[in-house]
Amino acid sequence: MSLRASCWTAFGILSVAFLIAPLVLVVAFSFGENPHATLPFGTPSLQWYVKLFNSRDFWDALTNSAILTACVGLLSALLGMGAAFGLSSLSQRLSDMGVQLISLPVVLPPLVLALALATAFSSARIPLGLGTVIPSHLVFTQPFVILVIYARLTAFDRSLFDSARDLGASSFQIFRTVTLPLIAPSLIGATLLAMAISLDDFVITFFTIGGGMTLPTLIWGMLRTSLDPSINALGTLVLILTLGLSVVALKLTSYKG
Amino acid sequence: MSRQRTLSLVGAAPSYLVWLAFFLAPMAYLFVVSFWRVRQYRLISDASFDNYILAAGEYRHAIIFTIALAGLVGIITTVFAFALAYLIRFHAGRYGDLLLFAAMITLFGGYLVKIYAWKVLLGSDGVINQALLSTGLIAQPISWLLYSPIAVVITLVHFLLPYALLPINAALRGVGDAAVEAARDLGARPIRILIDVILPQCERGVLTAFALSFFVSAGDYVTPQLVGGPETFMVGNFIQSQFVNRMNSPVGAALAFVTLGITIVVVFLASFAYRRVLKACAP
Amino acid sequence: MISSTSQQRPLLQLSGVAKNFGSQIALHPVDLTVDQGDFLALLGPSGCGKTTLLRIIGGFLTPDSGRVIIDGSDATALQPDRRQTNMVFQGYGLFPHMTVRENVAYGLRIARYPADKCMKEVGAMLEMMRISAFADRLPAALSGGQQQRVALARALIMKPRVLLLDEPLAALDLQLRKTMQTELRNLHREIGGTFICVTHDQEEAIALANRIAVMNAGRIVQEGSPKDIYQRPRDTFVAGFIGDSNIIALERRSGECRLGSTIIHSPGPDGRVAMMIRPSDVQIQETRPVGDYCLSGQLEDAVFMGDYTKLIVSTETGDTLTARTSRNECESIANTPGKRVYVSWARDSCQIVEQA
Repeated sequence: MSLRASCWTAFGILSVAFLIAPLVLVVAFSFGENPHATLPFGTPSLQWYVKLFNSRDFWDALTNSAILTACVGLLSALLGMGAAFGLSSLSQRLSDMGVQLISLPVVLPPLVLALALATAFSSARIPLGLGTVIPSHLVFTQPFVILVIYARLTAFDRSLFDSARDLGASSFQIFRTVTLPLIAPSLIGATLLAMAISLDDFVITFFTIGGGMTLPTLIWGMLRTSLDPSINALGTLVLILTLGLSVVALKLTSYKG
Repeated sequence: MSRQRTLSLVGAAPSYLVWLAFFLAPMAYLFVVSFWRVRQYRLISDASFDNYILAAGEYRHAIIFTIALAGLVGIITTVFAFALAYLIRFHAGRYGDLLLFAAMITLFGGYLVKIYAWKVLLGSDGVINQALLSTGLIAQPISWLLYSPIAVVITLVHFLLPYALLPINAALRGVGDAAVEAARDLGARPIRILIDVILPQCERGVLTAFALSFFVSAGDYVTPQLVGGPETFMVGNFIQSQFVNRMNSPVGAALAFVTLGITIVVVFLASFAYRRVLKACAP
Repeated sequence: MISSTSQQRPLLQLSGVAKNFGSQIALHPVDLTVDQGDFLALLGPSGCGKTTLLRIIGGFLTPDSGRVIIDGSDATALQPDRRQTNMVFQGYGLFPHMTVRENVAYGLRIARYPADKCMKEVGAMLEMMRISAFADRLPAALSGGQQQRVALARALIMKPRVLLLDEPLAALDLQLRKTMQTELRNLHREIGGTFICVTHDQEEAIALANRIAVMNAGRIVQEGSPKDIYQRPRDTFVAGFIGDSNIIALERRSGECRLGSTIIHSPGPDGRVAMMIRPSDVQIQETRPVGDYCLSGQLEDAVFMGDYTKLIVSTETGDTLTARTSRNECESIANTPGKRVYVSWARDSCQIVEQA
């Protein structure tokens, strides 16, 4: 291989290492006896996981995260589908604008949004809890569902609808038997994506949840207080959940770049 | 309007209602609040620019530092992402898709875990120092790897790289092979081809990547708080402390909007400069 | 422009050029000679290796073995920018963000031509290709034919020794293609340069080129003038690829091939061969003709094709022959399918060719 090609290969490998190594190390530390996150790992051990599972806080946080993620996922899917269908019936210019508007919450720094929401809830005297977190998450998860479904819809072959209509199907039947099955993978993928994003969110959750805890806020708490080694275990768990969800989601939406 | 269309628009309504109630309205309210005051932990409506003057005055240095750091992160991330995408597009052959997948795999998860990972890696007894010590490259552990602006830059670049890779990769895919080969055929060396043919066609993707990285970095407070140490106080930290510790939403809000405004201006300038700089480098 | 005094030495010589992609053989060792002033068409079906060969000539691929000699010097290892060739790419590869003028000027600017000289040459080239009117437009605002002229201008302004064209007319519709064929041919004559083009369209190859190399499965099967290849195809592949033809499988034994009651003399080894005859050389009559080669048969179908009528006959030997007649001839026959007819042809109209 020429010098040039070797340099490129080295760059590629080093980049991937840069991206993945830190996470791999956290996972590795979670399975090692060594309580400090240093080498050597020590003998393989599940003690940190045991410690984690014995913590009351962990189960509270897990429960909240589960409820939150499920609700946000479901609602994102429903709302997102509705919006995507609505937008696809508009002219190109209007729908472009509509998509950009609805995506604004994603491009803003989360801190600003968190502040706005916290201030608004406080002034409106709405008590903070999962009930306030869910809609707060919706604003930045639904754009992903909308973008994916909208892209899928605009890529549709019109002749599918036309031939179904030609064969006598009603609008609802067409939706049920032609549209839905064809967008199902994208819809599921986008929902999983929304769930991963919601599960991983820290800043907005922190400001809108009040006293409760989710997995990310639990990590934050552990980071602020002690050097508890079971944080590696918790981190590994969060990684597996969020990355697992998003990998499946990416495959389903056949994301090619 | 046809029944079909009405139904579609009705279907879109809930989504936009949520957007209105939980995004636009709170943001507008926050903007209004930025003109208010706080007395004895209660919001008093007002109409003064005091908070903004405070932001521009007392917090001037923090804002400039934040913009500079965010700008640095933005540039490093964009260049890094472009190099990676260039590798994937032109030099990776069949490993291209695999490389892309490996790079993107960390995209949507583990924000806090990543910051924690670098906190652990960069410390004086972290893995990096351990490795350097054991190979004898250094005699003492490097202390400024952690709790420094460098740590913040490394952590943010690591986090933002996949996000920047997305739009740049999409843009590079849109550059046809024929144009690149034609340039080669006409005598251009690879760097020339990059400046004359590839970069001009990637304008949107590169600028999107930069804007994304820049915005997120400017507004982040978690990273500086966890790995930045006492020297690295970014605007986000001040905003958060005004809000949480001092219970002073108006000042926090003013700071937030000032920073937002400046970041938008910077991004505009960047897009303006992009084409100019490329043209200036023409053969 | 380039003087056309004939040179002893060929302009382009390929010897033993071969290329594999992994386990796939794209090109078996290939030899090719191109003289100054030729317009060569590399003709063949997709996958035959013609584009690979063109890219090797242009320097975009390095052959696994063999040499590429341009104007006497070995160019095998040279990069495209250092070779005396320029290519017009499939899809044209125009720089979408540059105007027509900037596109055409690009090569000269890279070569650091002084600005005023550059402008003059670009102006002249734009005039010659008749695209001066769109000089300041972007490629997206041009039609396919116009884009192609820009691509040609951009390549020709570099005064290459060999101009390479990769399926130059593939993206154009039929009418435009015919017009551009004439234009390309005229351009070649005007400039007097050496062109090599790749195409899968045999009509295009015949219309454009003065030399054709027919390729199949990584080999050059036959090379020669369009007339040679048309009239004397080497094997059934070439015969089937160029022009319409009837191909009938036969056995050769002791220098003779038997087709029904007809005996065709053909010196050569025993084995399976084929007889080739062009539909336009086949006559159809209602009565048995005298002399020449003849078969009886039944008219299966008559298809009106505009300029001519296609008559399809199934012969006594079980083969199918297609004949082409002009509109007015054989009208009575054409109108009655199922009729018993006689097909005949002159002795030297048919050929015995090898099986591919």
